[in-house]
Amino acid sequence: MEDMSAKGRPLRLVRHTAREWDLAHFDSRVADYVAGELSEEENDHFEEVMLANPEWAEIVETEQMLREGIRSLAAAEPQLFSASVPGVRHAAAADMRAPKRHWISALAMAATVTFAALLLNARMQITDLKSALGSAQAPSANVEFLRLDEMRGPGEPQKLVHALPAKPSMIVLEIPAGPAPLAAYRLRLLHAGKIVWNLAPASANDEGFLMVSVPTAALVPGDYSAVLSAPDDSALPIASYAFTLARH
Amino acid sequence: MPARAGKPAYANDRGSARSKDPASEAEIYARLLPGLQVLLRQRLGGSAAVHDLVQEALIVVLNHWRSGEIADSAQLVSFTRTTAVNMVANLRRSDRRRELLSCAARSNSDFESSPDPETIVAQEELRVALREAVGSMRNSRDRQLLALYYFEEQSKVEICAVLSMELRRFDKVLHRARARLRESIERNAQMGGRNAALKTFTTISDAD
Repeated sequence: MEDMSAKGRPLRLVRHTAREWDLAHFDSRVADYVAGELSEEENDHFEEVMLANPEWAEIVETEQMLREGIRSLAAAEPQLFSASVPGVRHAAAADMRAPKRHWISALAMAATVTFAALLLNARMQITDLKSALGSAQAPSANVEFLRLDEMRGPGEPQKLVHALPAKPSMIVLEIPAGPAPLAAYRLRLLHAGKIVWNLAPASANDEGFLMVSVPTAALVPGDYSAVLSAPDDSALPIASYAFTLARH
Repeated sequence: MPARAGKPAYANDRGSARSKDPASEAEIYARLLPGLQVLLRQRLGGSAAVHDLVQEALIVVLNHWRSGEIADSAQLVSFTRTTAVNMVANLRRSDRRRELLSCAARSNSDFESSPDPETIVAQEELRVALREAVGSMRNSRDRQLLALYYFEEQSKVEICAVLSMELRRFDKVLHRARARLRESIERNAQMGGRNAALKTFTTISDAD
């Protein structure tokens, strides 16, 4: 059967099968429709279903708002989408873009402690000051840092051993990105042949380090490998760092 | 929201030339309007032409329905969609012509690309509602998922691999995020009257 469209061109009128879809199926296709990822045929069918079920158009409308709104919100307030618990630094990709802030706040706290220590006790030894600085770097969130530098020397490479904190906290792994930095990396943390942490995309900071926060709840004492690769695993791993977490 | 929409009153209306029936036509208008708005917005983005095209398409559809060229409600949906798609194509063609003709003049008028005040207010209100909706999501992984999908534009498969998540769960998270955003917008609208975000996205017909 043929009819004429608004502009006078022949228009094929097809008996539609819009009601074959139920709400659950429609809902599962909404995000792909708004993202423009449906095939042409599926896209056309989706639109017929939407026109036949006006109550469902609201779902698509909200998805359009979500897509449009989150872009601007995530750009303006990346911390809102972080994977962290309040007060603790985390491994979210958005947060990885501003690694310097961490050092600035840690240094500011360290400077405060140093200044206070000098005022209170001018005779404090350098070692005591170092101790004060160390504690200042982990103020309230109980964050510990573990730098996975390459250790060179004769014989087998020396494995780094770090004490696993007794209380729930975060360990920040500082991983050298290597001599030819990429725009983004994937980091996998392996323990006993299993992936215990998988992060991508992660980016290196200006000092050439990836800062990856891992909650200690996800870790047990034992041997670990931090394997650095391209985010899409398109090439062989870039580097691998072994370390041991010992019981506190 | 019902799992399946009810059968409209005009569904059994078949025949060649129909007499003018305001009740049936009002129902057709009301049922087609929401889907048509969303469809045209999807194809035209935030263009101001959406409102005009919705009305234009509905007039064409009602005229064809009245003349009996559309046999039944099944064809009505198909005809509406095709009419809307053809109108978008025609609009793009005429826009392209206009663009070519006024290319030199347009290059000197930067103000045309600036968003109007209503759009700025709508965007800000949407942001407020979104902040509330996202803030109410207790699972930080869900928030991260939203950022990776909408902001980082990663694929579903990739995100599921990174977050060690099943695709079904991914869809559930998006479903929940939509529900929360809707609630948040409606709550804000109740508190402060109809807000601009909702107005821009949902009530083109209110202006009539």
